[in-house]
Amino acid sequence: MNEFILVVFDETREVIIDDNPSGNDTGVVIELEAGTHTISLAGDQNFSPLEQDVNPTGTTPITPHEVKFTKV
Amino acid sequence: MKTLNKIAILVLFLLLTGCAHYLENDRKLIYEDDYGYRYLPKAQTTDQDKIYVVLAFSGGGTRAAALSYGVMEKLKDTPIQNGSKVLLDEVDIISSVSGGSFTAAYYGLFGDQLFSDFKDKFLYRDIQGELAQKVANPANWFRLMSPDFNRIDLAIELYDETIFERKTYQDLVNNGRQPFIALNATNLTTGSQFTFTQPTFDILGSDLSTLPVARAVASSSAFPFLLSPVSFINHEASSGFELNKDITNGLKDKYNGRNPRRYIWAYNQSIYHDDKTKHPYLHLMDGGLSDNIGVRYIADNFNRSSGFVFVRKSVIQELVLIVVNAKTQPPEHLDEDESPPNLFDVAYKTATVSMDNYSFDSIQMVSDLLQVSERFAQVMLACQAEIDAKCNPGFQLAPMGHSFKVTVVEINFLNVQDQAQRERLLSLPTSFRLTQEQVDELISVGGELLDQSEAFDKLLNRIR
Repeated sequence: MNEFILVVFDETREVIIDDNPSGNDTGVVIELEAGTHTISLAGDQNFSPLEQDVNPTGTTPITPHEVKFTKV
Repeated sequence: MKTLNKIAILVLFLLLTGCAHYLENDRKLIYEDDYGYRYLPKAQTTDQDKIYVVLAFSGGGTRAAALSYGVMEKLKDTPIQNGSKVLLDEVDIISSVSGGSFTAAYYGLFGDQLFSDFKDKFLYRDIQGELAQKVANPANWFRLMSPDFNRIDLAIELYDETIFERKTYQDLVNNGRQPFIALNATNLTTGSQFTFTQPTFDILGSDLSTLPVARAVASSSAFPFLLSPVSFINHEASSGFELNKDITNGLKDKYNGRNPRRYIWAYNQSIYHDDKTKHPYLHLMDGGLSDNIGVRYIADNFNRSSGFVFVRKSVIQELVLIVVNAKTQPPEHLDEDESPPNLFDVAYKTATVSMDNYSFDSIQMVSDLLQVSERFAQVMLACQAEIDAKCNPGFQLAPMGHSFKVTVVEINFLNVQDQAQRERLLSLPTSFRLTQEQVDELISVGGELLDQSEAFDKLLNRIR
């Protein structure tokens, strides 16, 4: 069963999943397989935290797991 | 005189065993993330990725190779985008097993030359007979006495010299890696799929570039009992190499976590990096033992965060999967006899039953995976349309990161309409020796089955 995340940041950045460029930007719903994933952003490291481990459960495309990064 | 003969035989033995160049996979001292036969970076394929065509070629000896050839010939003759190109130009990956690997590897190395010389170089040949002749040749008996030289090495020599012209994976790199050829074998220790790509060899601390393509094809088609496994060295880790976080996160979740399939995938790779002392070598056999269709490699790369299809989902508009399944259903007479099957029959069944049992499930699994993903994007669009029409104008749902149409076509003899022809094709043997007439019929049927597919027709209406 796949899950869905939505990465939120003040700027549009490519989302990095498990150290791999995902091909998707912040602000869009990303489908990914169940399990633990390490989420980060491409570009300048002017955000906090620098990476987050998530393990979303029971998500849908309309109710994705939100992963927020704050600009520093 | 007798002493002279003995010396001559000894010299001959030493010479021949000395020539038995047991090819080893070379070590890679320093890891480079852009080195070797790996999928091109996304930035280099953006235009190519809009129509994303994946071919999966099953096992089945010359039968599978010829059927795959027929499908490729049809794609070559299918114009798209107002005739500016043909559908074959849009093929991005060919994932293959066993017999299908001959066609895939040949196309990867020689491109359209496939259509001018592959029939004579492989399809029409009695490869089985040629291998038997090599084994019967007394000169090779000495070589076969060496622990470093096996029957499979004779097959590798034959493929290398007479089909693949001694090409290596560096030649595949030089050809531009489009389409990407994924030749699949089975790791005898883990029972899992082993795909010949540099990322797989990175884990072995090894350089795939110097490996003859024939050795990969032979691994992919090393039929149990008839041919011996192909062995590789698990070298010390290359300097700077670390396992991808997709793997380490998969391990972290454990088997009883939310994704045991990912855990097993991660575990089966990690042991060749984390426990090299216990796994200094690995031994490969026919890819059909783990997946006789070759679609699981596609599923992994579609779903895994480290997958090259995953990273392209946002740009793909048409996602096309054509599975060439050369499965047969030969007449079976075991049930007619009160006595249990003999050892030969049991060995043959043991080797082949598992190859075919899960092919249907594998195709269904990957088909569902792609189509559910397509459906999610459609649901999001429909939901937004409902909101716009009935609820709170101006409210925007976050858009889905992908939006592609999926086309899945399975080429299968069961879809042949003429009963006599269907039964004839379903009774073909699995061997590397078919008559020219049989090969020509398979090529023709491959194209016809693609042509009669409703899903394929709908696709062409969108992209023609």
